[in-house]
Amino acid sequence: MPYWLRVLAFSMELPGVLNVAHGEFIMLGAMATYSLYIAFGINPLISLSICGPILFVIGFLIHRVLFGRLRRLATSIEMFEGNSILVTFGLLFLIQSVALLVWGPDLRGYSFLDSSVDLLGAKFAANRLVALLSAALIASSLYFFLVHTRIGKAIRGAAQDTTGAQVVGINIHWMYRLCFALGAALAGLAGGLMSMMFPVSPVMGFPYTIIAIIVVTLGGLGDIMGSLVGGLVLGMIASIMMYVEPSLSMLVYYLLFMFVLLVKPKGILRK
Amino acid sequence: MKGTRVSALFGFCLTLTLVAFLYFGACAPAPSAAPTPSPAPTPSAAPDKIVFGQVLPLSGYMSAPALFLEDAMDKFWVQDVNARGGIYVPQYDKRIPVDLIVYDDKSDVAASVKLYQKLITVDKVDMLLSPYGPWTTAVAPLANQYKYPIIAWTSESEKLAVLQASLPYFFNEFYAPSVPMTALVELMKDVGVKTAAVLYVEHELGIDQTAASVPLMPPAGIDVVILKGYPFMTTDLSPLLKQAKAAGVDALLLHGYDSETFLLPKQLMGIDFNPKFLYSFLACAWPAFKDTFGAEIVEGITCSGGWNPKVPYPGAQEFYDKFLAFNDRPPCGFGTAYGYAMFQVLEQSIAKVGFQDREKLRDVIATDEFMTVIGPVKFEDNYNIHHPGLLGQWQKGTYEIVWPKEQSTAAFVYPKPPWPK
Amino acid sequence: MNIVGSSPKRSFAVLFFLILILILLVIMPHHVAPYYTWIVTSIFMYTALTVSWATFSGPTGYISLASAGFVGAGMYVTVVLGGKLPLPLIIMFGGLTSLLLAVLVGLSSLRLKGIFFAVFTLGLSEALKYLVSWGEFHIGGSWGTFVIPLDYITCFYIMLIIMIMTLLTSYVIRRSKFGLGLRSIGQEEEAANHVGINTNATKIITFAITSFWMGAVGATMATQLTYINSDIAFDVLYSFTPVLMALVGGIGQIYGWVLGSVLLTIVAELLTTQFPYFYSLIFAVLIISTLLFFPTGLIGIVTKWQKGNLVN
Repeated sequence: MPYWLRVLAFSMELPGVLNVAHGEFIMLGAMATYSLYIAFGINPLISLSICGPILFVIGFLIHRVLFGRLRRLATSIEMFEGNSILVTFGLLFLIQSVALLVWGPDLRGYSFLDSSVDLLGAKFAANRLVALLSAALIASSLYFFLVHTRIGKAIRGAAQDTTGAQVVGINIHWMYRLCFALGAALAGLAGGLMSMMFPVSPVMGFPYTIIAIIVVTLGGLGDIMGSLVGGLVLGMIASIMMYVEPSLSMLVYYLLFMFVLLVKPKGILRK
Repeated sequence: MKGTRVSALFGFCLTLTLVAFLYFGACAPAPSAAPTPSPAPTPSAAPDKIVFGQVLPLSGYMSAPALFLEDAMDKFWVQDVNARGGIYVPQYDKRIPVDLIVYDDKSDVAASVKLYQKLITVDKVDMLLSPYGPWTTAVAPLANQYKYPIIAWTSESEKLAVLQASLPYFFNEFYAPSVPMTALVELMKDVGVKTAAVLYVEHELGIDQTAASVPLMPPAGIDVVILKGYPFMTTDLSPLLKQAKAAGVDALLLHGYDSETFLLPKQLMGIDFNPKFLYSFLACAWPAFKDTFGAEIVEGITCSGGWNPKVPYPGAQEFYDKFLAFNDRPPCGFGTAYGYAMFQVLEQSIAKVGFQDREKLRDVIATDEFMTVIGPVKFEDNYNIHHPGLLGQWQKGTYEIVWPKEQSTAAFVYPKPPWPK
Repeated sequence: MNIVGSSPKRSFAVLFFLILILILLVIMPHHVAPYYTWIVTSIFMYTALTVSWATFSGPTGYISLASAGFVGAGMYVTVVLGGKLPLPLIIMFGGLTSLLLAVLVGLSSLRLKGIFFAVFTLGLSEALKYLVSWGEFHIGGSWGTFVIPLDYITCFYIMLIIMIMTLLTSYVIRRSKFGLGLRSIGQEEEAANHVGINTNATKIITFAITSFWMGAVGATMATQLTYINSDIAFDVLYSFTPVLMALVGGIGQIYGWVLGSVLLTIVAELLTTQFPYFYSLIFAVLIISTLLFFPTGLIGIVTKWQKGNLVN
């Protein structure tokens, strides 16, 4: 559920950038939501509307400062891509270190809608349902934005055909920047939702980055629908593995990941 | 091309300079692998500080428990002992204040070993403090080689226990997993647990504990219905918990790290599974665990560790109060007190023979019996024999000691009360 | 691009410097505290890793993040064979295991380029880590092993030898037709193919040869760690650090790579001991600033400065 959202966020950040610091945006959203709840008693769902925009701005600034400059300096696409990965790696440590200084390394958590709810005969935690609904809401808003607004269409155009888009007058770099910022915001929202259900700490981010990379590769780098499918596939595999042989879970994810890269690098969906 | 040639020259000169810097900067005529022999204590000039050295994972994935337990305890103890004037050293008939050097190994074992070497051979610290948990396994042989007594209090490695005979300078105030696990199984048997699910992290802690606990259960009449390992850094245990629920086990045991312990309450509540006996090892007895979820949710959860300020040992309540005042949180029901006890052992040993003859110091630690806030501490074959596994349980927001019965501060509650609505 | 100019006088000067440094290094362990010997051993190790990595990844632009896999493989060879075979043989097996692994990786990833290649190699390294972890526990029965330690002075010399061999290998490759092939692949692989260069063979052979030394490094390092488990052996930092060092030094030239690794190892050591609570933060700032402001590395700065002077 927020799983999808996280992956969605990552694929939004993708154009040109493999954001290794993705998990840290999730972490920031989670820690901020936690702090707002503990310090001011703000309902996590309301925190979402605070964290989202803040992370949007942060993402936007980061993209402008870091990647704008990298793009100007790079002499080739490979160099840009390579340096971007490394820069986001540095970003990962930067954000994590600052978070550690602010919050300390302890695990934190809070209780919000923890009781279990009967739904169609099966039991779910209330907060999970709320998270699911919120995630669905956010995802559909995004869909609406991409499909029915001018900027959304411009983004999709840029993604599909960069040259064509530029011909029509769309500023590609602005689009990329917007995408990245949106991705950061979505990651923050996902983190906020997750803080309701899981304990959080400044070092929680990295595993999520790995999963996101794997899912997005499964779905085809840059293909948003593909990422959703990839997320589903990985989720199914995760459940199967947990029942059969949990210790092999990570290995299987990586093998699947490598397999897809070799056989169908454009993702499972593409022909 | 001229530019390239100059760059090359620059590069070489720089490398040369760096090498020379290292060479000369490091030119202490220290011998190679032989440890600096402990000089006989000179009655004349008393050193103005006793320097302790330690390497901890202050950053990286192992940092949370290390910072919580060891770092916090170190800082507390240093100000505590210095407030009393320092450690008493008989050779000079005075108290000498303490200084602590801490290095960050960034959760990298190799760095830890290397930095301990630095502490020993370059900084030439007087005493070493044990590293955190799993790292101890790598550092113990090194400390032993250089003849620095080390008392570990966060390590419980079966492997180290096996090597004990060849590591005379390494002491473990904690115990090999077989001890707390034996106690755990005894308690389960006592209350009539018949079926159990054991989940463990496939990492040092989980593997060692499981290897110690599982074989003991069938003879105690407990059927281990589910035994599943999960990968390190798992964030969702629900699928495994659901399996445990489906099997309807009496007891659910988690042999995992702090992050997994923190997953338990919510994920169990989410699937509405309330095992009659719920146990986890690491972080279970930490005040943060109770604070995060609230007293009602942690009610009835069983943990390893038996310390609260009510124990009848000298200084226990005082330690609790002072720690609370200094750190803004109480010491946990498990490790923290052991840390303080370790320092008490050191203080008492140094007060007897001083700190400069480390061989003598080691002998004192190895043979004497000490009284600390966790009770008597005596090392036999370098392991503390005075702590049969103690188990505790959260009851009404307080961490009570429940096993063994002779040392309990409250009766064990079984079955575990249902989750709050 | 020549490292040395064509005049014999220049070559002689360089050689002289090299021999001087070598002599200093050889006598060093007997005159300084063990900790410093250890630091220099670390420098040798990272230099060997960085140069090995950069010999392939530098000219071709194929960023390999599988270094951790090769180092880890070497480490586990020591874990398994330690004490049963003489050390030089173990180190060689470590290198060979890495080499075989590299051949496998190379063959399977021939079609991948750019970011796909990087991510694939990273995934492979991690997959190997989990595979070994699983195998160690489920098949071997225990997790994590103690390794028979080797005295640090012998390790120093072994690592020195490995580093020298790595430098020699790199130099030979760069000067050979392979080097030319690699650079052509880096610039325009299609064209290189058309011209008749067997790009596949070139890539795989170079990748394999350079990873041999990574395995040897791993096998040697294992003797210093006393305790190895899969997290330690396949630490992802072994993949990222050589990349960073090559970048900071300057990715075009061998001496850039050496400079980067020497400098960063020393800086890291200083930071760890002087600012233990801020190490990560400072390092992160360092990485980001290097990438933003000095993408051609230190050597690049010097070259530009020199060119600037020439212009004036």
